[in-house]
Amino acid sequence: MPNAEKTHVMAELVGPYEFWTFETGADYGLPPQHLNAETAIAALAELPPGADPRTGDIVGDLAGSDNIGEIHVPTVWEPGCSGKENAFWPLVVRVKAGKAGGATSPLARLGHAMKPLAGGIAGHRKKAQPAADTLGFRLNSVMPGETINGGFSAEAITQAYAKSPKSAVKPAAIVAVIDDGLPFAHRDFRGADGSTRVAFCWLQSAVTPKGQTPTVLYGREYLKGEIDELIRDYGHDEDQLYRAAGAGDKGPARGATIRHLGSHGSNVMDLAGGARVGDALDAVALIGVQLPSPITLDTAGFGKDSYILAALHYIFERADRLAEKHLGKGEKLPLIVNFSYGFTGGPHNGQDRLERAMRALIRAREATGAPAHLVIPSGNSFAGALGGEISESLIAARGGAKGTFDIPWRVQPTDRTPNYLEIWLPDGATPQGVSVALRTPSGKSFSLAVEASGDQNTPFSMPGSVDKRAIGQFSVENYRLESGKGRWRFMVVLAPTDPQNSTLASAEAGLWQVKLGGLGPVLKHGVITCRIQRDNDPFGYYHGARQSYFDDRHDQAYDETGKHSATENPGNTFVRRFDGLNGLATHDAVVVVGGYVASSTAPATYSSAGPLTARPGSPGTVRLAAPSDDSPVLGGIRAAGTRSGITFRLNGTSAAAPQVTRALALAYAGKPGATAKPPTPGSVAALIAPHLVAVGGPKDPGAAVNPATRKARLGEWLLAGA
Amino acid sequence: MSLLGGVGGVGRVGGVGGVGGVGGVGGVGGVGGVNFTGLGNFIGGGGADSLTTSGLLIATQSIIHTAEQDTSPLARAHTLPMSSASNLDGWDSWVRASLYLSDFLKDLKWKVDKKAQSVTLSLAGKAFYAIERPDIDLFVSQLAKMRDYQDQRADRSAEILSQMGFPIDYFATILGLNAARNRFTFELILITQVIASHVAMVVKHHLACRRPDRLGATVMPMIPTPGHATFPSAHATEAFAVATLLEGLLGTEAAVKHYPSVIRLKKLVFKQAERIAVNRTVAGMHYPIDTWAGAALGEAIGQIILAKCTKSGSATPRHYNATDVDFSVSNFKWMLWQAKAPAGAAPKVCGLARSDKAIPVTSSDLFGWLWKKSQGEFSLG
Repeated sequence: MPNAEKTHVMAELVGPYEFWTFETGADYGLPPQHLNAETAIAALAELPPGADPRTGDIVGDLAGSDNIGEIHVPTVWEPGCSGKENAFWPLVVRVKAGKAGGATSPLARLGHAMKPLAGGIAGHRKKAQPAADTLGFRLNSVMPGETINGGFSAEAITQAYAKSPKSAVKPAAIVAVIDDGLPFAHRDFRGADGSTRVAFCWLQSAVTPKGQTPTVLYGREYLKGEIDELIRDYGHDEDQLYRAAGAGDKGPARGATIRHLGSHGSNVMDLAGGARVGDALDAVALIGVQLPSPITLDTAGFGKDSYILAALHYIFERADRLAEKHLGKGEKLPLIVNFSYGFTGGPHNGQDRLERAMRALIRAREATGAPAHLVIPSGNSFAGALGGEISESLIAARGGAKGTFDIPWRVQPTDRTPNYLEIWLPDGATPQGVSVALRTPSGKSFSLAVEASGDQNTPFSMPGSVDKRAIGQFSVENYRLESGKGRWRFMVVLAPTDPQNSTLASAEAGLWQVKLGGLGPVLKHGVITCRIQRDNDPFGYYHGARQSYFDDRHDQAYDETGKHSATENPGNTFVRRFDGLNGLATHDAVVVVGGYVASSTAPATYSSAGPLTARPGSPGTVRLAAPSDDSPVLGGIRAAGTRSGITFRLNGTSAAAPQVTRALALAYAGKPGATAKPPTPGSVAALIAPHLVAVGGPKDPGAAVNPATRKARLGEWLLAGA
Repeated sequence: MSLLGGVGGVGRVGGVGGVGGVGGVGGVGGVGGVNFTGLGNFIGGGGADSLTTSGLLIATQSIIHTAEQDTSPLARAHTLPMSSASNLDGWDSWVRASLYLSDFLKDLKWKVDKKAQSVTLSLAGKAFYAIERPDIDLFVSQLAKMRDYQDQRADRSAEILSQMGFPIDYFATILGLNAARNRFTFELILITQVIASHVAMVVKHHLACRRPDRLGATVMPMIPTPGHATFPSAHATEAFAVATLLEGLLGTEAAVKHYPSVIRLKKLVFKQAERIAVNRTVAGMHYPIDTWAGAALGEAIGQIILAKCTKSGSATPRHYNATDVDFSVSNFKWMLWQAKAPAGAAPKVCGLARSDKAIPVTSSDLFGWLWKKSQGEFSLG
């Protein structure tokens, strides 16, 4: 790719993750991740107020030039796009065959196709916005062509929904679940009349059959009426039901977890909104969104932003329709969105692009007078050694040369997926004068050029390798925060140590060192935060991901009794256990849920925490905790599998979050039989106060154990188990 | 050893029909090795160990004198009725098994048409099962469906490993069968499985279709592939023969009195049969079309056995010409759940066509005896 093209693409269209996936490391990806000359890709755009990608002044230019690009907009919630601030749009970009101004690589073609957008958007930019603050575009991940519905109209839902029956019981709250392997026909989601409480369910990578009017831009939507029909026709055989529904038997969703005994989403959705004896939940309507089959996505979890944002827009839009249908025009219902998902990377200051987008939507809904809660798990990486901090005091304590530090990065053998290390400079610091070198496990060293002037992506190959093929990528980037602000991030990407395609060069497994120098001026601004990105196989899938970690010899991973340490490392240690919250949960419009062991109320070994020094309740901390293990021997929480009748245990903070979602829904909906309360916005704690125990308070059975860290792990309250 | 072990014993003792030798029948633990019934060794007919034999000899010599010289008058000696099922009570279970099997096989014939690439099975001259050999490309295209199922190995490994023989427990649990109370119902289920296995081997041998692990490089079965052909699946044949048999059993007056829920039980029995058959696809042994072929054969065998048992039954002839679809019990046995056939059950779609002209089946006093015995076990007891 020519340099000018590269700069444009890197600065305006993709980040280092995408650049690796689509360009430097494209060969390592599975075929569904490959960009082709003709391709469709999910994208996220932050656009100035008034810039509407559905209108001519934005996309008109695009259709002009070489006419190879097209932008499609999925279902959006209008109030989320029409405010006075920048709006976040989920988009689908399609590139067709044809000349692209000499661009040859698929990514360069995309870059070329997107170029004319800048002009259209510039017209909407506020004068105060700096010129460098351009598109705010991020291309995410490739979308299987057959899942995109030609002839989609956002209005088609009006007619379709008019035909879908009302709920037997007037809804008083809506629970929405964004997850994988959703058993939307499960009996736990049916009301007393036997019909489903699932009002809407969107499977983002299912295929809408030909001849059916699509109500979503991609994937397939099921309304209550259709689910009731499926239950009527196939309720006797749920294997056949999901097959007949096209929910994973063929197409890009093939091999989906709905075919397994249990899926992440079955357990989570059941904990969030499944009926129980005594909790009929008839007044709680459900909305489900199933993200695309993770088989097509990276294990690091990036590439989903556009799908997640589209899911939220969809949920908000459909929630308004649901309220209007049952309560009348302009009426709203309390909405609780459970999103049991996360990753370890990101800026951790509430400024991840997707975090900003989610926050903007929640605030926009609150502004309409309707309660909206976004419930997210705190993360499962507390004991993972995935975070580290470089400070002046650490360097002094280790006796190293001033302004230098070697990051010890242990990369595992037989890892079939790439490894990503993010190095975040403190606010206000610039890369000026910083040197970066890599030392391979076998002891070869090579330096990486740091160009502080602008964003760069530099592929590197293994020293001494014959073919000189890239086995990694180093990038320097001014990560875009709120309008006009940025924070510098270095990123090192390593190729898999055992690539799927064994003819490709592999990265060496073992202890890599990222040798930083010239840090003096940087550290004057604060600490450097290092984060290894999540590299896990999603529940029920096998990619062959093996998590790398910081192998710091000072890390006191175990306490004197041999248990995983529950406290922070001493000052001479690089590895940090605190400040390792889920990278999507560090803003102020989210309910962050940690996990505890029900039998002891001890924090679950894995349950991630915010910074030790943060004030409880402030953004970037755990708000409250729910059980995520029944006891040390009975790990996980038992809830539904994919077929009515199956139950299994799921552990992790993913299982804690939906219990909070459920408690909120019940608080809004009241007890079965009682009249639904009118929705009143209120703080989470006030809503579910009867079920909470104050952490560290007189009723907290674990208050005496690690009192100094307990609130950082568990937040301010414990929610009693479901 | 057990009642079930008795079947394996046929091959060893009498050499009848090679029962003991058929893989999965006598050879696999499910029959000889697992004590399903809870009975001990052959009751009263067990093999003699040398110590007991020596002891008996010594005891005989020691006591014989007390009766040898007796001249008191004898009572009249009675004879057993000749050729009567009523004598079965006195025969060992493995002998009965041998007799049932011979009774079934004596009327079975097969016609192989190499030109048309088909096999037709008939009973007493009446065709009841015609099957065409699928094109090799059809098997190859089914490999994609197998790959999807492969991901479920972790889910299903306990079932797969414990169903390598005759998975009788998986049916017994549904019906609440108990070894002490239901020994003849177990015998009936078991002989149905044995017969189904024998007939399936005949069809497999003639069609000689190759196993998935020979055609697909990445099938990599999780258990060893047995040494017989893939099409039809014997597990499917056995499971659906048993399900059909149990459906008949559940339709009797005794069962309706015994169970308040026969309709539900029938559904569970057939869904379990599907589960057992599909587990073999998950394990890497069978293509989905093997299950269709086996289920169709098993259902016919189940009908024949029921007819032999009850004097009033018949069998539905069927023809199977495989298409590239997945197996689903809701399409195969839709009438249990629905009044109208779903689209997936249409012969053009699934390849299976059942005739509406049933063939008569002559009843058998041997099967009739066993049927009556097992009926007696459903007495609200």
